[in-house]
Formats: sequence, C-alpha cells, structure tokens
Amino acid sequence: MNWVAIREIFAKDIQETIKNRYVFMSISVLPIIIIAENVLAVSQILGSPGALDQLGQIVPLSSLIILLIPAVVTALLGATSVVIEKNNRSLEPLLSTPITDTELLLGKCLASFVPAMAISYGTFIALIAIVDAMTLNALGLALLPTLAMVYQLALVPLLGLLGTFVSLLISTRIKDVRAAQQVSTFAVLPVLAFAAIISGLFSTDPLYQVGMLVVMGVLTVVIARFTIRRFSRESILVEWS
Amino acid sequence: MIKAVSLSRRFGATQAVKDLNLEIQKGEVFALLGPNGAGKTTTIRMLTGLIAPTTGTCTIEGVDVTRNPMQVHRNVGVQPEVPGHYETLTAQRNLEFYGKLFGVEKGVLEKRIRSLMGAFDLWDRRGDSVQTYSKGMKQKLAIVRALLHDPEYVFLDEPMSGLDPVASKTVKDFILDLKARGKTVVLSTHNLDDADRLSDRVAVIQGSLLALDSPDNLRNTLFKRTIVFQLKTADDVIVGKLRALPYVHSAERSENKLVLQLEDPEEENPQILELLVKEGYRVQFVGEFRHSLEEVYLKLVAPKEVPQ
Repeated sequence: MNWVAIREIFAKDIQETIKNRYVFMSISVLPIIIIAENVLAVSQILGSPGALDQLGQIVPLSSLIILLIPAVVTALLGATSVVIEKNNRSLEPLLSTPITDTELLLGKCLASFVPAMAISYGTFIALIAIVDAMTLNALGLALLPTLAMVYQLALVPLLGLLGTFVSLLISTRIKDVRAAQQVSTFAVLPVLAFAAIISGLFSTDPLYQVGMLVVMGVLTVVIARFTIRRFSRESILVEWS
Repeated sequence: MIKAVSLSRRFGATQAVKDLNLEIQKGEVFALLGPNGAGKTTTIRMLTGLIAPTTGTCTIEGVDVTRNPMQVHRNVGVQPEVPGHYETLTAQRNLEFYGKLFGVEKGVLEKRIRSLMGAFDLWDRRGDSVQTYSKGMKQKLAIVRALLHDPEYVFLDEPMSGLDPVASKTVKDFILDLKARGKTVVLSTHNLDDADRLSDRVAVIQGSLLALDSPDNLRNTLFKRTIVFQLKTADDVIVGKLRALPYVHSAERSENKLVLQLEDPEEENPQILELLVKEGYRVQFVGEFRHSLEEVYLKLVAPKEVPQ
C-alpha cells in the first residue's frame, strides 16, 4: 500500500474542498446552526419552571440532530470529490500514475471521512461544553453527556463511513456536482433514520445497542465492498468520461 | 519497445479497435493518425494500461501492460486529449501532486518543475490557479505533467491542440529534443504536417490498421513519384514524345512546366533530360513534387468516410 499516494490524494482533495466556497460554506454552516439551535432551546428552558425535567427530554433529541453531520458532510464531500474529478476530466491523468484503485478510493474516503469526524466530534464537544456551562450556572449540575449521547458518539464513525461509501457509489452514476450532493444527502436519510432508532432514544440497554452497532457495521461493510467493486479503473474511464 | 499483438477493444456493440498489430521502437517518434472515432485514444489507453483490451496483448519493454499496469505507469508519461487539471489549485501544486504520486524525490521534483515550466514558458504563472490559464497554457501544463517523472515512453494525445504558433513550435521542438534524448514518443494528432515533420513512422488507423510506415515510404507506396521539369518554353509535342516512353506513367503540361510520374526518377531523369536537350528545349530546373502526408491520409481514409 502506497501511503504517500493516499496522503497526497487526501491532502489534494481537502485543498480542493477548502477552495470550493459552496461546499466549504455548506459543511461549516451545519454545525453552527445545530449548536445555535440547541443553545437557544436550552436557554429558553432554563428560564422556565420545571427546567430539569424539560431538559431531560429535549437534550437527547437535540444531540441526536448532530448525527446529521457525519452523514451529510460525508455525502457532500464524497460526492464532490468524485464528481469534480469527472467534470475536470482529471481521472485519466490520475489513473495514469502508479496508484491502485484501492489507494485512490482510500484517499478519497479519508478526504470526506476525516473532516466529517472532526466536525462531528468538534460539534459534540462544543455542545457539551456550552450546554453544561449553561446548566451548571443555572442549575448547579452538568447534564451532558447522557448515556444516549455516548451511543450517538459511537455511531458517528459508522455513519461517516456509510455516508462516504454511499456518496462515492452515487457519484459514479451522476455527472453534476450539486445533483450528486443532493442525491447522496437524500440517500443517507434512511441510514440516518436507522441510526436514530438505534441511537439510545428508544432503549439504552447495552446489549441492544451493541447488537444494533454490529448490524450497522455489517451494513457499512456490505456497502463498502459494493462501492469498491463498482470503483474499477475500467468503469471510471469508460463510463465517467 | 512497445509491442501490440492483435489488440482489440469492444465497447458493447461497438468495435473501437480491431486486431491492431504494432511495434514501436525505442527512441522513435510514432504518430497515430485517423479520423474522429477511429480508435486512437482507445489505442493509447490500451497501450498505457488504462483500459484492458478485449483480446490481444500489449507489452512495453517486455512488461505486460494489462497484467502489470503499475510497473508500466512508472515508465510512461501520458498527456490525455483533455488536460484534466485541478482547476482551483495552482499549477505548481498540480505538478507537485503528480510528482509525489510518481514517487519523484522532493529536491529532484522541485528542479524538474522549474526546468519544465521554464521550458514551456509557464514558470512566471506557477502560483496562479489553473482556472486562470488559457487553453494553450493548460495544454502545455498537461505536457509538463506527463514529463515530470522523466518517463522513457511519452504518449501525447493531440499535443498541439489549442496552441498558438509559438507555443506549438515550443512543443514540437521539445518532442524532437525528447527523441534526441532517446525517449520514445507516441503522438496522436489530426495535424498531418506536424506528424510528417516529427514522426519517424506513422500508423493510419480506422478501427483497424490501414497503413504503417515512414511518411516517405507511404508517399512512395501510394503515389508514383512526380518530377517537375521547368522549361523555358514547352509545347504539346514534347508531352506526346514523353508519354511514348515506357517508364513514364503520365505526362502533363502546365504552361512551361512538365509534370511527369516516373517509376525510378534517379534512373530515368538523366534520360529525360538528354531527350529534352536533344529536342532543343532549355531546361531551367528539375525538382521532385512531394505529396503531402495529408494526400496520403486522404487516399487511405477518405473513401471509407463517404457514405455509400
């Protein structure tokens, strides 16, 4: 495995993402909105009677929204990184270099997975810090992280991987960047719904949770294998150009 | 040496390339000519290991291109028909990216980028994003990219496309320089003058191989050699006498010029000159009319393009 090549593809894709104002704005705005919405909700509840009970119901639901981040960010970045290659017709020179399909795919996966993880966990940490500071100040106790939130944190990488592979798979069929992003985002919604079901919202039984994480892990492996099979050099050049 | 044996490629119902046999010698400039859709790009892709042939084999220096594409890629530079740069990144960043993928050591890469960008008059714009480049500059950058790892075999798909005359000359001179350094260059081009001037041999393809030889040999095979005799004054009487000679295939007069098609001008010219002088004609000069590669190409390809 040529790790230098993988690192280079990863770094190049990250640079392209940063230069792409539309994508950069899209992935930056989402965590800001989620944190702002949560802070606003908590601050309103803190001022009302029975705040602790209300917070106990609202906070797990609010933090669940953070699971949108790995799914949506990987869908956006994964779709963009591949479709931009298609639009630029840069795949032919790229495939003329001594890199394998796996190295190319791994570099591209990392370029959407790593930022998605950084943004997701960054948002979780920011949310925990801000909400705890607010509740400590008002009620004298820290509410986060809840047990459900711990399950949600464990789900983030799986959701990120699923989002990445689903978006790469969809990108092989779509030529327009925005269409690929929209379809990819739409396609990860069922996955997100499944994640919501197993995210500790309905049961915090550890056995149930671990079982569901295993199911999601298997689903990720199946989609990843299917994507890798579709990601052949031949089909990239012949079908994508 | 590049060797293709019975190379064929089918896309669904379409036979893009059929039974192509080629041997391209090391250090040779070799041109692939053919109309649009003739299979030139598919041939280049098969020769460089980008796509596999449906049947047949291709080797570069004995290495099977389909079985060991990675090994082949290290030794091959490809400039595709569409430059395919990362438009939002700078030209230098584009080149650094490719240099690292080819495993070029950092110091060597820096020197090579500077030298090649300088040679193609791009160095001063190295820090600009590629999207600000003109079509010709992008084309030159694609050629630079193909040469970064100093490959022994260089494949250039329409290298002069979109270039102004000065840039075009730079590229042509560079191709000749590559040849002088012993590199093998495979060109695909629609510019037949360039192919004529640069190539040691040309292959005319249209799905399958129509002809393969040096431009001069193709000319001589397809056309009788044509010699022009410029006289002080010419008339139809001498034309008649020349037509009567067994080795003259045809003789035409255009004012004071006699245009003769001969089998072996080196042997026959002295005899004709002798006859002209004996008949009292004053010969001002004698020259050979050189058929262009375009005429050769059209003779090979054009009849197949006309719908029946």
